[in-house]
Amino acid sequence: MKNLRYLKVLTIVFALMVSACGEKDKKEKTDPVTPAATVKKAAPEIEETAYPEGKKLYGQYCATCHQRNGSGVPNLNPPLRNTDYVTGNTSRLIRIILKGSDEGLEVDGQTYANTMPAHDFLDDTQVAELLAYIRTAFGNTAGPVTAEEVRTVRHEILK
Amino acid sequence: MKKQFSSSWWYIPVVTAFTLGTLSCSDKEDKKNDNGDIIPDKNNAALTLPEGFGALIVADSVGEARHLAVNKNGDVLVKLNKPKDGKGILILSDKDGDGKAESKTGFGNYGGTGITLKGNYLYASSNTSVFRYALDENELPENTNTPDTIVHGLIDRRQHNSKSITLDDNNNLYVNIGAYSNACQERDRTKDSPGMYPCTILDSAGGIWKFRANAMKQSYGEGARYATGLRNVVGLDWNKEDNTLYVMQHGRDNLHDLFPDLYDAQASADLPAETLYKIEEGDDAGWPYIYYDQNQGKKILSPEYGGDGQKEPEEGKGKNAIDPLVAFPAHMAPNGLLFYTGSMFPEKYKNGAFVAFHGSWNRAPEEQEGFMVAFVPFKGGKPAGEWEVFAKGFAGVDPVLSPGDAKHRPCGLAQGPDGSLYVSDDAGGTIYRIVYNGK
Ligand code: HEC
Repeated sequence: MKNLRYLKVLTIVFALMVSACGEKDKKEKTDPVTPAATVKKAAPEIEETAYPEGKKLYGQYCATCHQRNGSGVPNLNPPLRNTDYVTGNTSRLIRIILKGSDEGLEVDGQTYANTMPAHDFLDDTQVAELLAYIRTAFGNTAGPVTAEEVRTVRHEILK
Repeated sequence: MKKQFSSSWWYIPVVTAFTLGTLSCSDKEDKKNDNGDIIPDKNNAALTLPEGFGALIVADSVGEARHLAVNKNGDVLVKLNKPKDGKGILILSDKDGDGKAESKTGFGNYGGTGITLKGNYLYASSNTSVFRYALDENELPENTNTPDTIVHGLIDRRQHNSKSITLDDNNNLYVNIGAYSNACQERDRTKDSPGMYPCTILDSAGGIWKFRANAMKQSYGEGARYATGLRNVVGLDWNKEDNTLYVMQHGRDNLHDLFPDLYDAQASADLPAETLYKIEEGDDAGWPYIYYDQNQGKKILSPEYGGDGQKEPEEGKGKNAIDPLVAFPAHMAPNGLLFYTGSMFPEKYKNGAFVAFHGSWNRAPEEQEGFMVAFVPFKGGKPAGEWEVFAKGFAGVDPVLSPGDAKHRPCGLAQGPDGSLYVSDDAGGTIYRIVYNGK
């Protein structure tokens, strides 16, 4: 009795696999040059944001390196998605924006070769808007940053 | 627990069925045909190629495969950007002649980019040094734990640190030392930071250095700066037809980010050109003082040095810089260069240049470009026609909005003993082999 059931399983698995092969053959025969793995992808909608000014600043000063979607560039520029630096301690984050960094920060176990330039030419309100944006964009859910905090860190750096 | 175990024998028929199914699915045809030719994968490894060409996957997921070399027996030697399981160089061997590597071994616990075979030696580079391994009677390195250190102590400040290598026929080794900077500003890539004048980075980087291929422990003092004003070269090759070095330069970035009043985002995505240079000893390609504008067809003074997008080079600032032989679209990141000397491909390809483009990242908000292998026909040491796309489809997505989305990124090129073209990919770790079967 039991054996019959196993035989059934065997037959079904085998039949499924053979028919899957057939599918593959058919597809490859009719379409020999089109890369099978190519998927046409529409431009992803960049999500709504409560910080449109921050989003604009991001597009202007950060997106080339960190990419529109915050994914970064493998080995070159780190991602801004759910990294400790973005969602964690705000003073440390403000410091990176104002001073830049080229020491090879470890971000999720990886280091990145490019330079993060200083953005101290942005005023306190702009930095606050920008950081509030990246802390809520790209799937991040951290709280906002105030202009007062930015002013405090800027003073510390100048000291 | 025990009960489950005792009844787990039912896996046997399922596994058997699965194995049978897989076998009946396997590409039995992926073998040599009657002529002894290697048969491409049915979908040409998802690449689009010119008529008559085919491609197969030699190996995949090998790690971040930078440059590669193929020995006389067809074994593929791959340099990894980071060692995987303590191995920075892989040896991929095809034991049954179907073009697929069945065996993968490795050695060399260091990351890097450069690897090449010359005479009885394998040369490979870390981001500071060049090592040499003697080959045994099987054309494979024998002293894998104790290579000779040919060059050491080259600058590595993470940015542009690949030490790509090539050799001429007179025991000279050419090493790229990329500039650890975008445009030699006092503060790299920082808005309103001026360009250093003179650019002191050029003393130890931003050029090609020449060393003896058979002398030990050389550094800057023993080598010579062979060419300067090259921001970052990853692809380079010694052309045996005219006995000359050729290099592909990565052009500068961030024109709009740094000079929004002079360059809009579109201009920044399209400028400057990625450039192919023929290099004679002592040449200066002009970085950081100039860049090449492929739309205007001339060298333009960099904005860090007083340029405005129109002004031409000035005395002491790129005035004597050489012109490129070919200007490709911006930011596509040429990481591999190879002059084809084989006879498998049609006549048109003989002595021409293949260029592996890694694909761009700094074209936002535009789509990213590159992720392909290009070809430039050559005759008598000069380009003999427009460049063309030779192999594409590596990225697996179209358009590529961010380079992290690309499944594969071409990086290195090598020619096999039969004239096949090999392409390495440092994103998916795939090694491709491109063959010509058209007659
Ligand atoms: C020229 C490229 C570049 C630009 C422009 C740039 N960054 Fe960065 N950024 C980097 C690099 C490279 C690092 C890593 C620095 C290091 O390793 O020391 C980095 C690190 C960071 C980090 C910390 C690491 C992480 O991923 O969480 C944050 C946060 C960050 N950047 C945000 C920004 C913001 C916001 C802007 C725009 C104001 C910006 N960056 C502009 C290249 C850039």
